[in-house]
Amino acid sequence: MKLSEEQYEIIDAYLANELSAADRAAFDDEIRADADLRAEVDRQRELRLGLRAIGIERALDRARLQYQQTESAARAVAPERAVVRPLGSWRYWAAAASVVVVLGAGYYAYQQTARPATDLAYNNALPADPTSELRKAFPTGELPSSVRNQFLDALRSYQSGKYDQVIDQLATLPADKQTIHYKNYLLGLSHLANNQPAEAIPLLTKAQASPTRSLRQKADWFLALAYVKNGQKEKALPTLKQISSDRANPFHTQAQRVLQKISN
Amino acid sequence: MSTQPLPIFSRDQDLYDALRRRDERAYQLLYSESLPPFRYWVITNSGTAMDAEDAFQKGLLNFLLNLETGQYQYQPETRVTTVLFEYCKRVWFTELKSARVRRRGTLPEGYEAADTDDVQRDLERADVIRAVRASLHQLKGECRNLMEWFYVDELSLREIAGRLGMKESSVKSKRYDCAEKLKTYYRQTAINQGL
Repeated sequence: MKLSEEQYEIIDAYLANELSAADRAAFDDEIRADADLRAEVDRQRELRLGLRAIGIERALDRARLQYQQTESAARAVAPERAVVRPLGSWRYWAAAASVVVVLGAGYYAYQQTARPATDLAYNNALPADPTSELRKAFPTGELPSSVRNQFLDALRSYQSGKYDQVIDQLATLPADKQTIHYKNYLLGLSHLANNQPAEAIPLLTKAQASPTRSLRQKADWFLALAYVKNGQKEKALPTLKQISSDRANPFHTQAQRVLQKISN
Repeated sequence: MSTQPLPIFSRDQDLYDALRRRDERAYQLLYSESLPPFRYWVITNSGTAMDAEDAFQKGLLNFLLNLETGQYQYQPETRVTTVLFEYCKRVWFTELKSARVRRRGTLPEGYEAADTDDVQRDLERADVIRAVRASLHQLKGECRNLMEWFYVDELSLREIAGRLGMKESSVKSKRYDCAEKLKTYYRQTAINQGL
């Protein structure tokens, strides 16, 4: 049954409990009398339920991530607090933990050990979240606001751990010469976090062409990790050596550790 | 992503109300209060910590959907977390029944008490959700965004109009077109899945 726009709106309002008592009673009568209409209402109810469930699942994923971050920070980091830095605020805990989560997909997967994930998380130089600066840095230029919003949506999905969704969302996002590097970087990062280093490598390689230095540095670092994770140690080595010898590079210490690890 | 201290609900009714209004910090509180004891229970009943997290997530989703549809209503004599624990246990019982997990251990005490009608309803609802998700993925571009923004993220038509640079009335018409497309995909998916 093909619904008219008006019928669709009435069913939607009925299912959202937005009809007046009189209208609701009248519509109940219609439903009882018309089997096709009843089937349409049931179908629309199922669709609403499914869509609502997807919304709840996403909210639960965010809550689960928050819980895991808090738990892992509290459990794994506490023994090292005297060595590294005093613990200030919840924001700091969250920042440290988000590094654990993200790098968990890269470096620690490579390590394949049960080593506590505190080493990288507590390095002063490491950015809190590989996507954290993108929100502010993403160029607006002549972009329609809908494109910027889609990018921000993709960032939110990334931060919720929905890497498949990011890849999906970015696939249709238009990009110009300014924004293409951000798109490639975030896509590459998502593939890497999604255990797809082979797919991440060409994207992060493209992101290295960014005119923005900080983005280039991130792309370099995660590309090296992608090579390591993909079993191409020899391709990772030149970049890791370069990063580890550059004290101004924010990934300097991490690169030294990875180099040490893969040399053993 | 920032983390804020969890809220304190002085009464169980307050927690229930927060869940009703979809306060995500109430979800976090449930993770913090209910997951650790549930994890312990699963581990002592043939499962792993990862099994526990998965079952907890599914049980929590079932619980929240029932809360939204009115199938679960607050009862002052039973704590919300106790009810949630039962939902999650039911998920784990169902998992244990599957051949994959049953190989790892015996069915725990209390398994027989699981209400098979509830289990059946949860499974059917999971099928519907799976079909809706698959149908949503078939929508492309603006249509998919619009449906997600309105029904999943619960943005208003005005907010969506702002994002798309369209008039609110145009967004309303487009929502109708997209909903009809989604319905077509869903009908086909449901047939394919035997729903």
